[in-house]
Amino acid sequence: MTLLEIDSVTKEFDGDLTVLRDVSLTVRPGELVWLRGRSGAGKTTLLSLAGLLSSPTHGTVRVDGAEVGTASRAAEVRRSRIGFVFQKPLFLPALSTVDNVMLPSPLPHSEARAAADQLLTRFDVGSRADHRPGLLSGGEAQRVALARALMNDPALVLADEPTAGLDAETAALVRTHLAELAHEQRAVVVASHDDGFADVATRSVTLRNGELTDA
Amino acid sequence: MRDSRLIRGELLRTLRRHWAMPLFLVLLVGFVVVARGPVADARASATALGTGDGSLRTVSVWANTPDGRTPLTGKRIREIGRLPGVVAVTPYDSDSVEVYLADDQKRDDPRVLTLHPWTAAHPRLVSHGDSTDPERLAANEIVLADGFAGRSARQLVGREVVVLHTPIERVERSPDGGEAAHGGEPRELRLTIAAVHDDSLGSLDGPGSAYVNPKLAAELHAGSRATTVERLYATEGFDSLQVEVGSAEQVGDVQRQLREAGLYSASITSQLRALSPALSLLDTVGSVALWLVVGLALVFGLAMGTQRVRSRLPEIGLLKALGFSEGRIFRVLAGELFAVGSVAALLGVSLGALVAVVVSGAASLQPLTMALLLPLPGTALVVGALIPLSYARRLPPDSVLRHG
Ligand SMILES: Nc1ncnc2c1ncn2[C@@H]1O[C@H](COP(=O)(O)OP(=O)(O)OP(=O)(O)O)[C@@H](O)[C@H]1O
Ligand SMILES: [Mg+2]
Repeated sequence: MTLLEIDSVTKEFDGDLTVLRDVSLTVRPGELVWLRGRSGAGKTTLLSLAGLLSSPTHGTVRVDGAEVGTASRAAEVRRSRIGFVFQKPLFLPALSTVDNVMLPSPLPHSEARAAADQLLTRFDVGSRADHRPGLLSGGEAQRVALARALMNDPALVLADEPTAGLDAETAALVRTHLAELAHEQRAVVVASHDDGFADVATRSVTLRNGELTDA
Repeated sequence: MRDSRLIRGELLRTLRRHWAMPLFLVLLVGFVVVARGPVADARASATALGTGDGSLRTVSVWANTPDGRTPLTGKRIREIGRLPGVVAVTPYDSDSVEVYLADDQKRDDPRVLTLHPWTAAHPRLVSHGDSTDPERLAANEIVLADGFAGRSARQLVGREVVVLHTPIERVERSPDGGEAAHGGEPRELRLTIAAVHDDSLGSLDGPGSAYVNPKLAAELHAGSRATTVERLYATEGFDSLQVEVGSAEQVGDVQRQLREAGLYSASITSQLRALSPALSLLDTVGSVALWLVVGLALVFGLAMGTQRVRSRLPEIGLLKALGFSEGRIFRVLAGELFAVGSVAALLGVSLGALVAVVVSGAASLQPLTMALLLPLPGTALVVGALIPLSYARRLPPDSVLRHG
């Protein structure tokens, strides 16, 4: 059973810049795929296709075996099946940290709040719950973003540079957390320059000149 | 997470940081409450007076003009009666008469009252009594001042008074070339008190005035002038007239025509007009202020909507990336603006109500206007922001990746 199926995908920007060329990738539940590639290779572009944030110029992306047609259907799948950790952590400044984490939750307020607190504690930022997100340190923000990505209990977790800017110890912690997610039978794709993922990834792929190779 | 939490968070942020436009709406809404409460109240009662109160439709005309005497004869009266806008013309000469209560007041202790014809200008003065048809007073009725002979209105209405009066039957030329009045025997006229008037209301004729049917007044006047009513109309003329005009608006016009006819006239309405430009300016502003609220909120909505969408592209992208539907994005953004407008309206209505109550009491408040004002700014903000908001709802979700 495959959860994410990227099939012969090409992504062009502005008609002439081809970032991805005939890329295929399948990810099963329990897998942690480490996506490598130099800066500008197209990792974020590939993750955004996988996360249904954009659509391919050619080829198909399937989540849970179904191709996603309309924009509203894509939003529905993002809400129910996908957790995304963005390369630059972004929060709504009007809300507290814990409210930001609760954003994707479909649960009633008190249950969502309990679940959010639990996730924040799990990533060791429980004491920051009621802070403004603007006051978080870079590493704290990364972990809060990870907590938010799990708020809707996603089957597919996509993390873009989740350990960038973290000290070695915290980075190791985040890698362990991502490995745990794979153990929980989620499908996890991590784009990262962090070689530490060699130890936790079940598989690694590399983007080079718009093409994806196993390595 | 419920949308209301999102909206509340952004509302507080807006009120903390971008309060200039909301504050402007607060002040404007407050102004509308005051303008349409106390100010409109003043205007409404003025309008009611203008249409309901004959004194504002009345023009006084005098025979004595600055350049000599223009006798107000029957011919003159008919001419004036034909002027456009004129409803009725009544001779308005007054006389001092002796009056006492018929039953218990001693006839050798009468009060001296100034007797006037009862015209359309007077019903307003009635403070007690039969006002079912205040326009007309029967030939055997009289209206006199509250407190006449030390009696209260309740004690006076319905009782009879005696008016001392000397009627003239005919005037004859005497052999020496002069004229002599015949029949001038003093008579007692019994009249019923139909109503009492209140001098404190600002009577046109001063304290001590009494009013009778115009025809009777003319007879009494002829008697005191030692002539007949017929001769007054035919040759001698009256000293003054009251001209009743169809509406207060026509008063100026009628006065102009009277001036052109060489007659000197005056009216309460023209005196009020001279005072009113400031009031009518305030009133005009008050009546357009509601539309000003709508117009300004529309413009603010466009400005705030554009500014918000532009500065919050990554945030909107984030909500989209998290799976918020287009409709939900729109609802959240529109909800924020509606909340900002409604809070501004609530503050403005409260502020305006406070001012209105302090200035002219709780009765001046206009609940309907205030209720209408509450949802108005919020709705107009949303409508004004429709274009930027519908742009925002269609933003691609990956805008979160490129603007963060
Ligand atoms: N919307 C876009 N329009 C035009 N060009 C784009 C767009 N998005 C990405 N690109 C280009 O596509 C290429 C790949 O970008 P991408 O962000 O996917 O790289 P990356 O592998 O994630 O790099 P990094 O490791 O630095 O994050 C870049 O050259 C970038 O400029
Ligand atoms: Mg990237």
